[in-house]
Amino acid sequence: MSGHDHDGHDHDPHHDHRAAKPWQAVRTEALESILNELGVLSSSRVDEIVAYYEDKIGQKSGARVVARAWTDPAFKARLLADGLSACAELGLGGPETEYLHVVENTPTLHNIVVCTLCSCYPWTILGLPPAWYKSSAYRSRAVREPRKVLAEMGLSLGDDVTIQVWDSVSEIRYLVLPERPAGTESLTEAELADIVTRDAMIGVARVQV
Amino acid sequence: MDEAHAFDRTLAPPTQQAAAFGQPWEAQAFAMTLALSERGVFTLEEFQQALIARIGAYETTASLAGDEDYYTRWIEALQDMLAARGVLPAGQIPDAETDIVRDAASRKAHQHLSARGADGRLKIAPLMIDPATAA
Repeated sequence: MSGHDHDGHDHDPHHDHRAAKPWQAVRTEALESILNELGVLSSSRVDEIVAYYEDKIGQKSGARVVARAWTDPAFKARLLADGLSACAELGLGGPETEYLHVVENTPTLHNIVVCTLCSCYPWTILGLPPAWYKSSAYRSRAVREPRKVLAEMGLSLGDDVTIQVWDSVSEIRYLVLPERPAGTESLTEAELADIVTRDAMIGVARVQV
Repeated sequence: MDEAHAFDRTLAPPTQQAAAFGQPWEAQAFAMTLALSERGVFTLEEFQQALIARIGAYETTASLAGDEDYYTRWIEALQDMLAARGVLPAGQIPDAETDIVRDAASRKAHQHLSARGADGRLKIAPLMIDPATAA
């Protein structure tokens, strides 16, 4: 058990600095325990799903897709034509995504994905969305002033670059196919997958060597 | 929502190794939702509509600043869906929560006691030692 109080100066048991469990944690636990008891869900299945999303999938899946597209032109063509089928070739995808549209960045066209209403995101390929993706600030500003938001996130685009903003919804999710950086001609597909970041696949960063 | 909400750079992920969930209850709420949709209690699309409604209502007066704000709306939406499906007896939540808080408090008290010796000082020692047997 971690989290022991190592504050040797405070031995007063009535004066505990550690925060109580947040109400959301208590509520979630209560819901799960009631539903588990009623047989509406099983706690072991809940644990399995947590483990799956925390460990097994994540941006690495998306990175494999990008690396394959960079090294296999025929795959890339299939990916751009039908994202889900192409991902399925790599054993990726799942019931959470109905349609996956892959948008390709070029030197003069940059794509960025946002979900204006909530946080639609290609979970099965990118894992869970980062906190900033779900923030009101990103969701409202990315559609209004994407160039400025991108610059604030560290991606400055020239005025010769067109920006396309895609609004992810429950029926259609988007994945950005970033540009392959120069100087990576000798890298293998696996090495390329290592340099592809989640942010690049949302469209808020470039892939860097 | 208006321009007053500047993009908070601290929300940007420092690395791509960031954990999927900020706090365990966020993961639990997320996974429960998927588990319930697997069982057909509701579809993910239906849940999404409930989530959009909760986020929309929240954003009339505030803005989502991070995972905690977001997953709090998630829990609200989940309760909305459970209520709409009639699978959750309303009166049970307070009792279950009382039990959970009481159990957590008693665990904490136990840890507090077992962490300290009779003199009230922290004991920092192995709980048990299984000694080496090689000569």
